[in-house]
Amino acid sequence: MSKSKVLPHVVSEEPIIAWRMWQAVAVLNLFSDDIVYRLRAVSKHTEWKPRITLKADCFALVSSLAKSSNRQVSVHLIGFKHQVPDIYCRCGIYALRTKEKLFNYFTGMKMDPAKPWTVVSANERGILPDRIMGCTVFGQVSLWGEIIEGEDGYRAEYAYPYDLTVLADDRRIADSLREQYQVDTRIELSQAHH
Amino acid sequence: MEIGKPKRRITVNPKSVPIPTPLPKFPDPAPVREPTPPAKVPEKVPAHSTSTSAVSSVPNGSGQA
Repeated sequence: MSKSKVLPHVVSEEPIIAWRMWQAVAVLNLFSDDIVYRLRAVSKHTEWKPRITLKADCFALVSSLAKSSNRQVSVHLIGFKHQVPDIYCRCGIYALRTKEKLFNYFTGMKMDPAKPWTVVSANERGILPDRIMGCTVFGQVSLWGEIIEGEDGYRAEYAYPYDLTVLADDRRIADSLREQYQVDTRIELSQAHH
Repeated sequence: MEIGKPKRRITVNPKSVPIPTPLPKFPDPAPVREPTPPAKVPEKVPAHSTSTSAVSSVPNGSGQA
């Protein structure tokens, strides 16, 4: 019997709303010669494309074998193409239950979301724009599809931003994100979290 | 990122995908066109023109042999 069948299972029509963090990445639009900002994941740098559902993929064959010495886990992942997210795996789109848990996590990782950083991004043709100061963005995210609910958060199959907060006093970034992702976007000065 | 000990599985089938649709953009107003001057009628019809004979050459089917 699969462990996933042991977990209680509920069905819903309402997307789960949770919290996560992104980086705002500057991308050069070759058609308009403008700089636009896109969201990407902080850890794996997955790009969140505007107005397109993000679907979770799993590269568990590589990552789990490298990270886990649990033979059962490895055999399970090698032998069967699994649903994403899977109870055995670490795959899925991550989000945390509350804003406090989100900021506690990044503080624990010794990452300061309020600290600006330099974005060096490339478009698909590898042309680098000038180095641009980027920033961290946090906000709520809609989750749907198959979801594993944990004590502190979720791993989901599908996701899209619900609203965004730009942690920098830079209206250009907020305006660009709002225009592209079509969600409520606001600016919050970094000092608010200190 | 850690989500803690798994508690349950949730299957969410939303009635509609929660992706905002782009706000409708009002179309640009149609460009104002200058009134087109009336076409000039050629003063002389070329001798080989068939523009006027094409109609008259069609049999009228009146039955006159």
